[in-house]
Amino acid sequence: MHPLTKTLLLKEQTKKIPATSFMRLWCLGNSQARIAAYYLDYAIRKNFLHGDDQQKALNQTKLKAALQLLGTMGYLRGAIMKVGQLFANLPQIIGPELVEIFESLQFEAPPMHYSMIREVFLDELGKEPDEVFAQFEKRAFAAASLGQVHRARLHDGTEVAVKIQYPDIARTITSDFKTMGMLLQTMRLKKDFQYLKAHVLDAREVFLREVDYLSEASYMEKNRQIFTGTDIVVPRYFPDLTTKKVLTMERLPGQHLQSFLAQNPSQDKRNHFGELISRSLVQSFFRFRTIYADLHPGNFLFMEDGRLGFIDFGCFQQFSQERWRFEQESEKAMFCHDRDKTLQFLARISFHKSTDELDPNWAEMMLRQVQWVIRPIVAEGSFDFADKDYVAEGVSLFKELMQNGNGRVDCFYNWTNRAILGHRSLMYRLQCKFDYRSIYLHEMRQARE
Amino acid sequence: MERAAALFNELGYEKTTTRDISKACGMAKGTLFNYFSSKETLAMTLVAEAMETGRDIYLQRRTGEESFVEDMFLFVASELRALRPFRCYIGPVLESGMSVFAKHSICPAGEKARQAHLNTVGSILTSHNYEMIKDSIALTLYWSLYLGILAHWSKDTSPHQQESLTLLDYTMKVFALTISGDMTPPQD
Repeated sequence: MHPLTKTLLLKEQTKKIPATSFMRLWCLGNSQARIAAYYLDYAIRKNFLHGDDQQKALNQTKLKAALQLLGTMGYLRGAIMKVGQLFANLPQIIGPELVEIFESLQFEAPPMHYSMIREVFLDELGKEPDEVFAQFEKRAFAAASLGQVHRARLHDGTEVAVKIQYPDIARTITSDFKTMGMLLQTMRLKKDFQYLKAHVLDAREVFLREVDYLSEASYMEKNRQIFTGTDIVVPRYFPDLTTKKVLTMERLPGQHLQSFLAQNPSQDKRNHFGELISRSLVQSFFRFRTIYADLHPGNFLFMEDGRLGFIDFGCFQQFSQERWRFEQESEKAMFCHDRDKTLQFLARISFHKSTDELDPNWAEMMLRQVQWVIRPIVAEGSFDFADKDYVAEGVSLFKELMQNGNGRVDCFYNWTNRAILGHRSLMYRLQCKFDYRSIYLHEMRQARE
Repeated sequence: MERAAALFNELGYEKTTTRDISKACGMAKGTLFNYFSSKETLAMTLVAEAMETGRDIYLQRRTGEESFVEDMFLFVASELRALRPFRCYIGPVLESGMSVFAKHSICPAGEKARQAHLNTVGSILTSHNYEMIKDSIALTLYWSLYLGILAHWSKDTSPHQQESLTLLDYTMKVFALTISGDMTPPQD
């Protein structure tokens, strides 16, 4: 670790967090994301230490203070948040308390000023924004996880949204993953090491895809083609105005979930949009065999004419052919309540040769989770996603899994879990009720034909 | 000068001699010295010209709507862009031409470039209602920060030196906070 970082962290144990933004900036200018690496290292090692609860609580407080400090690091805030989100997917590695802290803190990077954007444009497209576009709004209208989005108009009059990545963000996080890799090496003799390592590598792969806007544009285009002519609208992108760090896409009119809900929409409207969101995710899942690694309300726009804008395609993971086939067979077994086959699924995702090797308590917990996940699919007719008991049961189950889960599960299980949680939470916020079963089974059948 | 620049890029700054340069220009070594007293002065003159080009580009790009931080950022970023062809050897050139230890550079081309750069900073300060005081602590701080940016940029391996852009942004914010007097230490 950099000596400066070490000194800083030592000081932080006795000193108050610097109060002025200047001091924070000064202290943290060079330490960058290494502080994050330090704490992730701590979080990993902590799992193998035995301390009393009081000590744990103290550690947690320090951790929170340090993470608040991280939140002062300008553009790196977004990067830290992203690493945090990805690792939040891996509670086996970083521990539930860190996941909770990451999720409770709001790290929003400050907006890039226009002079900075002009430099990014010159490097990426060889021209200034006002040369590229007929009109370009200097102030961003939305934040993206690793950049910001501006409104602009093409010379032919098309209204577009331009997503611009923060400078050097990809490299910073890539180096964080390298640090993580090195830290993991120190644990190589510990239980489940190889599985933890696989999770870190997998998260890295997903992240690297997300910082490449060309990859996002290509996936967006594939989705646009399957939804053309439906009530789900995917924006087209402009290849000449898109690079790895700048993504220019058609701007759709509409509002985000929060504004939509603020208008107190009718139950019919809620159900309608809940259905469209579910349709977009399920269709994309079955047609492209991909899963959303970072599903959030910002992925969707609620359009005035009743159509749904499906706008964010950065963070996804692709199933391999073999893993997909296995997923489908297992889902079928789950829907038929075939306990033996479901246990075989659990054995396989936890890399055991037979169901006899499974920890019975873990298997029971997982079976309960499976039942919860498939309930909207096996339920006849409309399913009430606003049912408080259903939501409370899900929250308690996932909490239990986080506390008692182990690292020995395949990466897709984690992504699928996160995507399902994201979907159920969106549906709950919408307070919607509709026939989810028909949507899911229809797409499942289509995919088989 | 163009030929000298080509030789610096081709052979490396350290390995290029005044003999190589005069030979490439088809002139006697003594004649070259009539124009430039040393290789360092010649290289610094090249760098100073690029800095001037950068200043001109900045003035063209400036819209007058920029905040102080944005304005300073735009100025230095435009200059860095103009300096790109010299990036691989700007370190040793600036060490001799704009030494941080000398109050005033011993190299006339370096001193002239320093003054021209600071004059532009002065104009920016004035246009944002700050008072420009020659040899003030604020300007000394600025010059140290600026040389730090150049040193970092000359070794920056990130694509398009993006890391330096981030550093430049932080630096200008720090400078803005300093001159606006917002440096009060945290109170207990």
